[in-house]
Amino acid sequence: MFEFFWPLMASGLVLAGISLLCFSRNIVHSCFYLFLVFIGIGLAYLSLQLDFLAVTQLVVYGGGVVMILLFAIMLTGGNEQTSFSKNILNKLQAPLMGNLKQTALALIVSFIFLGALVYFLFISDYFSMMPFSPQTIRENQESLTFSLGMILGKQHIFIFEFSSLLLLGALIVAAAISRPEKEEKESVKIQEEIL
Amino acid sequence: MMEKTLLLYQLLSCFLFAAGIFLIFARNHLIALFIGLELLLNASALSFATYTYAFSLPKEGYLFPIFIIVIAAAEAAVALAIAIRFYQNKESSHVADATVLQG
Amino acid sequence: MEKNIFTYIQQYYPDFILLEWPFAFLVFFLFAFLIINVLAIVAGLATYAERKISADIQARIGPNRVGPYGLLQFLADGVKMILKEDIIPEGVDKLLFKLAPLLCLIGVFFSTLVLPFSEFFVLFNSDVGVFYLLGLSTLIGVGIFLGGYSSNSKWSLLGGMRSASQIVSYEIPMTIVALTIVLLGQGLSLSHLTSKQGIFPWNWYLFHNPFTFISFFVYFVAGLAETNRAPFDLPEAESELVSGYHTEYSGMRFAFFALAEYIEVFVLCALAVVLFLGGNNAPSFGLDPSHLFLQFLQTLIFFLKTFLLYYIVIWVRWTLPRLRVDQLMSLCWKYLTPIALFNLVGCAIWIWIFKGKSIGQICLSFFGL
Repeated sequence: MFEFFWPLMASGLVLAGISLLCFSRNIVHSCFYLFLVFIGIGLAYLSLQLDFLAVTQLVVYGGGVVMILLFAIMLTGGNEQTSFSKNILNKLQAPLMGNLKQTALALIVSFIFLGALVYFLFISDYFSMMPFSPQTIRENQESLTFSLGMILGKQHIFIFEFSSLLLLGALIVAAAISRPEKEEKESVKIQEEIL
Repeated sequence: MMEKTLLLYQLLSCFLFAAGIFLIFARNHLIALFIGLELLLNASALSFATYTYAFSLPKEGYLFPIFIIVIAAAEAAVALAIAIRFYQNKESSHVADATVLQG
Repeated sequence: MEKNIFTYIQQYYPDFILLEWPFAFLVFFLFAFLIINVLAIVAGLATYAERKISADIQARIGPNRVGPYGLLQFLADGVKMILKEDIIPEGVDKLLFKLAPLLCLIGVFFSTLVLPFSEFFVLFNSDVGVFYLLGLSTLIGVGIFLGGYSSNSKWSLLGGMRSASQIVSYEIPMTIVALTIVLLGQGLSLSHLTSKQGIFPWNWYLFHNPFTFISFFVYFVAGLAETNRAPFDLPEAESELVSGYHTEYSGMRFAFFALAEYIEVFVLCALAVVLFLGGNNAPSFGLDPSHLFLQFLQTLIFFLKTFLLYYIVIWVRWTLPRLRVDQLMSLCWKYLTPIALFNLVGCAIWIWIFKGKSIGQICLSFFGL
């Protein structure tokens, strides 16, 4: 029973996080609850003895994505909960964090999805397709980092290099998109008019 | 007992997915949509890692969560850039203001 | 077999164990409790040491009234902080305001989980210790940012954003430098990196390469900026942003921020000691490696080296003037990151040419011919 402790803890943290997330009206609070969800998922990986995956999740998601989201919130108007859209043709006219009608609709849709997923989970008898053998003992006492490093460095090196190119491209694109536009100077316009 | 953990994590992944769908439908803020997207990606990553552990599948199964995490980080950077540009043009972060391509 | 405090007691003092998991919980809890208390006392003494050392540099006498040579000054400060009124300004975001100092403190204490105080006195001897330690500093940055945001004040928000961007930027040279050492030591585990180094300075990673020598200074500067310390304390400077992200905090909440900062400096120095200065390696005097006296000797050497680096950190603070925020950012992106990348490539080339031998070993093999 004690071995079931950390999975229960991780699941509890994740479920608490997503329930607080879905029913909070404040976007910065939502970011913080997302951070709790990420820590919970990291604990779930840790309970499966996947240490490298847990630490990657913590560092990249918990440290990177949450920080980026917080900066994005701060740089795009902060934490206004009640502003409506400026588009007067929009018939919905719901506030920024949703109103009751939208929440009800979303609950119905998400319950349909949840029902479908759980149905397919229980209907698929995956235990009969594959033998159930959890990796309790690692071969040769080698760590997950070592195995993943060997796989990435020897067999799947193309995807590794390509993902680094993708990250570089994302960085350049992000910097290029968010630069402010340069306006023409008055003197250049007058010069063009004269000539 | 280990099978119970597998089942627990699969159910957790389904709940995460449903929460992501809920956020995408229920919120009108750009960043809230992105939070929903992150939850969807995390749900699939957790599912991958759990199945790979439970059935001793080849170690490449652990590469999927790692690449999901890496791609999500890159996507967060681009989402920040798009959100800033959108705010510079429209002075609002409401989803319904994104109407340039509409009609 | 994994070497941590519990397996030590299990292996060498097995007659204490009656039940498995309650005893394990008890051992880890007591050891963690001990670490937390020792680090809190170290942080308090660090405030005292900072005042005394700054007084020495500025040709005055520091606190010398409370206790012998003013040693109990930090206790008096702590009592003062506890007795102060807990002011929560109107219009703050109550949840995040109360949570931000706790986030910083929890992040800092979680980062002490993997520090190898001796060969067996480790709480969690994980295979990914270095990665974990480097990632937790962004957690502290999130705490600082939320603290700055939730105080309903423009200066706090600005200070919080500046501090968060500083922390996130300076993580990059730190991570690349740590990657250089990991390349040499071929493992992310802190105990493994410690065991690869030796007792004497010519066996340390500091003098292994010219590239690791430069990396040490890059790491030191980046670490100073990570902890908002020394010449990089623009976000918390009193003359700049009215003390930045912790303007609106008073009493014990401010004490949590300060405590988190001092312990973070300790963790930074401890990581520098493990990566570059040989960690907790001590002469063994022919004893069995698991002898209790050796563990205490290794812990003592670890603390001595860390306190030496801490002294240098305090010394640098009172010597150099503060950097402007654009100078800070350009230092990181234009100077430290290219130097760190160059060091990484240089170290890899050194390992390839000399097959991983240090300068000391090359000289010895040259003269041994």
